[in-house]
Amino acid sequence: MSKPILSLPLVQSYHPTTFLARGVAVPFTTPVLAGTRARQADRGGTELIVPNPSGGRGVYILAWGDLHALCQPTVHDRRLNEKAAALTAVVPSSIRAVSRQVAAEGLAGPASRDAAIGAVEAARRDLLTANFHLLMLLVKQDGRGTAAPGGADLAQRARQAVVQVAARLGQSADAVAASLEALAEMFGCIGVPGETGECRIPRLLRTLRRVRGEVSAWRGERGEGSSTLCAETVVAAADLTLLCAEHTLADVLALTTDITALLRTWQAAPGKVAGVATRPEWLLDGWEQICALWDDAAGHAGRLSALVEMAQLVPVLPNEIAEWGGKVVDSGTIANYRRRVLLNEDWRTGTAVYDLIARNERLRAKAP
Amino acid sequence: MEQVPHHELRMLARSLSAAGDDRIMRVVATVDALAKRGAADRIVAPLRPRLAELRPPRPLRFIRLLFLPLDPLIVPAARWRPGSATVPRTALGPIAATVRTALGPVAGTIDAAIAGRSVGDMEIVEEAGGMLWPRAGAVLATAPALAGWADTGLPAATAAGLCRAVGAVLLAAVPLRGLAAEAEAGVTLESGPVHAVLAEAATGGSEALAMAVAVLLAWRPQAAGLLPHGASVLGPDGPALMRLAAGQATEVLLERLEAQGGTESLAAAGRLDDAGTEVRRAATLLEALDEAGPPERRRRLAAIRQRLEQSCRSRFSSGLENGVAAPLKAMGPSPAQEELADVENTARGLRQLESAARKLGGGAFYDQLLHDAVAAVRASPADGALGLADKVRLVEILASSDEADALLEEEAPAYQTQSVDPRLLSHAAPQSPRAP
Repeated sequence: MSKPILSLPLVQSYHPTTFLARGVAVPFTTPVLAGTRARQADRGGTELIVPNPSGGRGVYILAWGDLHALCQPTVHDRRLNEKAAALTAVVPSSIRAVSRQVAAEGLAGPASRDAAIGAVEAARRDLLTANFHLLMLLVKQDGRGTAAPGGADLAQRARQAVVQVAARLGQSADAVAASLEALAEMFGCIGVPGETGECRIPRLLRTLRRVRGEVSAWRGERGEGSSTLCAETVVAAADLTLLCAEHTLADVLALTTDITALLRTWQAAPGKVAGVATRPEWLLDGWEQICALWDDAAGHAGRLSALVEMAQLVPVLPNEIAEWGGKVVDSGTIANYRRRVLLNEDWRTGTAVYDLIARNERLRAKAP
Repeated sequence: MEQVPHHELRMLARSLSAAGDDRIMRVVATVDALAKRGAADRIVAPLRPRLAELRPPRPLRFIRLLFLPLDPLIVPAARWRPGSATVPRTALGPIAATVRTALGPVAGTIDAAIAGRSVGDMEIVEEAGGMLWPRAGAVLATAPALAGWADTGLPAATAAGLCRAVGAVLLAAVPLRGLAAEAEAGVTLESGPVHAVLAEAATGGSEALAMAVAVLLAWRPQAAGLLPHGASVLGPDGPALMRLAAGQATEVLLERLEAQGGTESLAAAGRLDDAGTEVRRAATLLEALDEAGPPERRRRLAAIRQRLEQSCRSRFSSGLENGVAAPLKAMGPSPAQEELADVENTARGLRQLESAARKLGGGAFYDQLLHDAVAAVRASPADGALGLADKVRLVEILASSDEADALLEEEAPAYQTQSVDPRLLSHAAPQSPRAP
């Protein structure tokens, strides 16, 4: 599948200190691009961080257009690459949006297409639901009674609450409604207290907790060896991520205890609110594919292969996390693993490449 | 079955040699279902080359589980020689019976764990095998008297040595399989752990070491390069012992491939992707064995390579015709997703087989067949079974993503520069219009 590598840059070390520098996981289906992340380049434009395909240390940092220097990407990946290169902001939500758009075109197979179309629709519903519940919280906190949906005067009380809060904030009612919609964009994947459904981030947290438990149990049933080291790496990284993600999620949900104050902060410094609200998403970025790998694996051999790959893919946690939650990152286990487990020449190449592309397409369907 | 006269058994076996696949599968299932196979084994014996190709689901029984780690070493009794690092098939019964008796109630626990399972249930195999192999190894290491050895037709004096060697390999089976499984999963095999496991097997003597090396190379031929390094862990004579064991193991594996159907079964066996894996493994083994072999061995390797190449071509062309061309021709205008998925899976399996087979030669042959298949996909009418996305995906699998990209650009020029309604790309979505 690979063309001769003529003009690849040198392999570089990769110790990002911020989440922006860590980049966003891009769900490519080409096996050698597993674990690839995208970020804004220092000199403008965007760049790709591709883990060393040999399985060794370091990464390739490539401009978007240079992807062909490394491999012959699938048609799906070429399309995704083009779309992502045109993004003005490389953040988890924007990469997810273009990934779904490309998958919906069917180039990663019908299952991925259906899943992507379903996910876009579910995200739209979550956004509307978040908007509604933010409004209901505003009604409740404004002292206009419990905001049970379906009440005859609900719409009227909501309008009154918006007008009242708008006056307090020195804004028009329309501006407050628009702010609530903008906030719903961020809370759509997190959920708002009072919602009964489970949104994307809490669902992903639950999945990660389950997978962490299953990997830990798997490790417990086995003796020593590289596979147990892989399991320990995944568990250690998952523990750290869960701890930080739960902490930051609580911070985001705390913002909703006073919607008026949230609207005031949003009006003054929307970037500050967005910064806090998107932390769980940055923390969990990349884990959806890792969990899907585990869930897709069948039998002992499948789980063993999955673990080796999962341990390669666990995201590095930048030191910025200390500023987010006071947690000092100890990524010793992960670094230790990368030093101790060497991958062989069949890794992501060889005859298995066709099966791996099909498997990656299944992952796109599991984690749209 | 024990009462059937020998000449009738011979006639039955002869009539089966010309039987169709279905009949053979039925006979094997019937024999497998017998609590005690006895003479029925003689019916199955001549069918083994066919079975290697057909790969019927084999029920997981105590005896089959016991000898799974030694499968590459099992030979017909007529071909067995003492000290050859192989196991004669007729010895399996007495060895298994002895182990079963010695294990007592544990044997019942193992029987319960594997009841109703097949050899393909790898999780159960590893779990029950983990219970059985080390215990059986410990039993056999003491070279117990084997009840029923007289029925094997083998010299009595050979029983103890064979027992010890088999026992030592079984003692090392769990870590040996663990190393092979990790390597299959992508972890690099390293000399230290490999030699530690081989040293464990070597406690059963030089034949046991050769058996363990043969098993390791059968599963993971890439390990051949590691054998000369670190053999000193076996003691002062380690390097010499390892050379001897590697030579013996090579002979075992070569004879296995040279046996009737031994090479052909690799490309013909099971699913296409399994065949690709088997062929790649065999090609790697042949390459490893060829590196420093004497001229005679090279001649043998060349003959095996030729047989393997021929069987790959045959499997590839029949697979392409039956799994891709014919189903596409027969497909109606609105195929089910599963129909298209089957064709895609076959195409992937074919590419896996082809890329493994190219190591043996025949590049132009595969290029031509794939070129023809791609031309047929490209020529399928716009109102036919394949939507544009389906065509692009098939061309990507059968040829390359470059060619698929070119097709996309050719048939939907605006596609590369603008967003396209997903429904334009595939008719698999309900009520969607056809691709341009």
